[in-house]
Amino acid sequence: MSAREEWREIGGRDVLDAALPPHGRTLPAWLLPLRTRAALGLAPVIAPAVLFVPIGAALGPAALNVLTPVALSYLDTVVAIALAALGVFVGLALDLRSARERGLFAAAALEAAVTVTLVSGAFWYLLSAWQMPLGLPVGLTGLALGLCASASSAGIPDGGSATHLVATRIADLDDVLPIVVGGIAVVMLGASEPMPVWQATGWLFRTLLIGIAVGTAGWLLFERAHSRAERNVFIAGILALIGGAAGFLGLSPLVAGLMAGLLWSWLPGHADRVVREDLERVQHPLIVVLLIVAGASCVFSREAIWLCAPLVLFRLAAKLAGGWLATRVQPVLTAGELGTHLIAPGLLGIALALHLQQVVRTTGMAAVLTAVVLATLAGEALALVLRPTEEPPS
Amino acid sequence: MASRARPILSRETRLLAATIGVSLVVLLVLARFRFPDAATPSSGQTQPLSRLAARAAFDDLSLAVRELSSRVGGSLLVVRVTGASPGIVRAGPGARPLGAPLALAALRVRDDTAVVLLPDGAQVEAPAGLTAAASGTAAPTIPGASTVVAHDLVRGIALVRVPAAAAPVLSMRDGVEPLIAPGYVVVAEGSVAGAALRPVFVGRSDAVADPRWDTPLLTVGRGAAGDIGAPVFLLDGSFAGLLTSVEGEPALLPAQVLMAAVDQLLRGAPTATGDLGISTQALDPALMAAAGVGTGAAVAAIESGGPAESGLRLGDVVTAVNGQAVGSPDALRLRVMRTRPGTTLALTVWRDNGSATVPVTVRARTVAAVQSRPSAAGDASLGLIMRAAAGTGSEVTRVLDGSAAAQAGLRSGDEIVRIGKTAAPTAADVSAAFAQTRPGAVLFLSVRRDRQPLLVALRR
Repeated sequence: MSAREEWREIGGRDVLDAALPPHGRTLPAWLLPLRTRAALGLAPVIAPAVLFVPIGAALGPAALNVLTPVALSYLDTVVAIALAALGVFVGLALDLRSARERGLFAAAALEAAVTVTLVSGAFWYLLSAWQMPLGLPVGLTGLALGLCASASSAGIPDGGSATHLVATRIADLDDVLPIVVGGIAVVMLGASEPMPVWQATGWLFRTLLIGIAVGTAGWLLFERAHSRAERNVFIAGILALIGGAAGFLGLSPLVAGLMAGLLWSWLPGHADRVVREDLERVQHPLIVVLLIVAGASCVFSREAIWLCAPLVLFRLAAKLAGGWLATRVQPVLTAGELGTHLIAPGLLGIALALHLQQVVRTTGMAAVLTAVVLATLAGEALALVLRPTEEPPS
Repeated sequence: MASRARPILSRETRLLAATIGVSLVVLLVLARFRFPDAATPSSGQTQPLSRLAARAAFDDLSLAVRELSSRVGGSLLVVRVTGASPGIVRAGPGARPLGAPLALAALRVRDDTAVVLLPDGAQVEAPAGLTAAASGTAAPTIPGASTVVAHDLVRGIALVRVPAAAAPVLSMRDGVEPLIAPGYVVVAEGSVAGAALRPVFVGRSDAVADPRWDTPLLTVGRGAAGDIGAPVFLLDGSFAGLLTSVEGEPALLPAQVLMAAVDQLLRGAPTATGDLGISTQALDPALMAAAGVGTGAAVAAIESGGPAESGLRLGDVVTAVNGQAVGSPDALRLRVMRTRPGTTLALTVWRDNGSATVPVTVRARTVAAVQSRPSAAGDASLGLIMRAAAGTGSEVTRVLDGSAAAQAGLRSGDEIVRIGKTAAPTAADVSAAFAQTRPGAVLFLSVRRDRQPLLVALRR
């Protein structure tokens, strides 16, 4: 695993893996199958979703009702902050200063666009034919599913092959497009009356302004921190401010966080590095809350089941097509089987769906969230089966 | 040894082709299914089928209103209030000029008596100037003379004598629970042409407290904002209540509560006009900071010899009456006005950064007069130059810049009519009271400015 890979997606090594002893050294051989990672074959980045989403579903109103709807509503702010943290991570990863990075970003954007287009188009056709009573505009529902499907993770590390290293960067960068388009979709879905796209785009710019304003304030604070503890407080406060302000205004904390992260990586100084290091410490509880809330918010309705299976299939086809096309169009990519590396969905799809569900609290959007959650879990399982061809380490 | 044949297509391409093929097949197969439920329109652009369905719903609603008209039309009347006669003066926002006719829908509660809810601020000074017209929803108005039988000044309910006619039996909505929402109710709006029934959509209905009533009223949304005073019916024909307003928002006075009040009026029970002998004012930021409480009614003046003289102090903030929260001076006034004289109210007051309960016996409403005695002097440290004001206290003739008095907002011409328990204080009284106040503490003055009582917090 490369140094850059350690902080990709939700921040590299998971707390669970850190708690696990090294492979096969300290445990008796007969205990090895009990190790979650070894038993499930899960990579660090996918273990949290597989573990915490079912826990959330079990605690949620659909099962034990420990997390009641009222309790879930109290967690909205925490989820907004978690979304902001994810946005910051993506923004920090968006480093476009070298030609190679720009090429990788173009390839990632192309791959994400292909995925969004194919999945959205397929669901637009299906939902129009089904007349499914979701209570949501068919086009926006298809777009939401497409956006959630376009997020990806680089899957299981294969020993540092060239393709996997490229896929890691692509997986980071292909989140940018769904976050930005999702910011527009959030505004359009959350409006009480139909809103034209240009007006929603105007709101997107306001979200970016929030990110710039709070990000600038944070940058000034980070530079003046006298100690690491003080800086940690500043970072937590800025994160809460980004998530809280965007959530309060009904805007996307992901977009605001993305803008702030981008700003910190562009501004002079070491803001991006210190934020990345400190966020890795606070991200785990946030992500756990996000996943548990997502699981608890699931409603296993007939509509959700009908949406789930096609979503898994269409996403697989779209990811393979996107990876295939990006490899051939973008000369920077010399690796093969890029699409196969991107089958694992990661967490951003769930985060995006949860955010949309918090903006539009209808049974239809709950079905969309449930479908995305189920498809994410199925996608992780699929990534274990459809392993890319082994390559020698680069 | 023969080498393995290299496939024409790479593994990725083959996997892609297979996945796309399967996806297309699945897409085409799944598209043949139809959900049995009708699709719900989700945007402002309704589909043709949805529009047709909505038309049917509107037709159903129209039919229900028409049926309701035939059932309740005999109970509805239009009471015309003419301000030209010395009968009714309508005050408050949206006041009509004297002489402009005001048509109010009324509900017949007896063969010769109807109840009407006069809008906020309206007052009946004499039982004259009303004309009532029996009307069906389609029949033209036929004016006839009428008189006000009884009028609850606080709540605005008036019983009006109307030409006798057989009143149909109405079913009443039981209970005071919120209306079923979202849904429709039917309001009877009055006009010079008669009473007309109109459906109003109620998106949400919640209980809302009103100082005029012990029972919470029910919000009905802004759709009924123009129908204050109108009788309200449910689609099943039962009478739900009368529309009134709570802090400018329309609210339903439930039928059960209304009828209890009507019975009281019909029995001839005197309508309460209680009074505490105090003047109150709303809390501004300065008073909030001085008193240490955010809501309530600040006591600005206490009438000498009044019922509150022994219990209340200047600067007290009344926050509740009999445990019911009081948010403003108007709420306190209305709550006291509807209390029968002789009744003792438990006032919760905020005083010296603590809460206390003060029992005060309500008296019949009279015109209060603050007694005072003259004096004269000046005090430089306080920042006030005063002179004796005959019968009231001390009049401020000059306020020194930067002084405590200037910071408290006192002006030339203000009359200091009370300090603590001292009515009509002299200038020496004011200076002595200020001198005895601890540094940083607050001294409350009851001041008369432009003939209106005003509470001033003077910080030492």
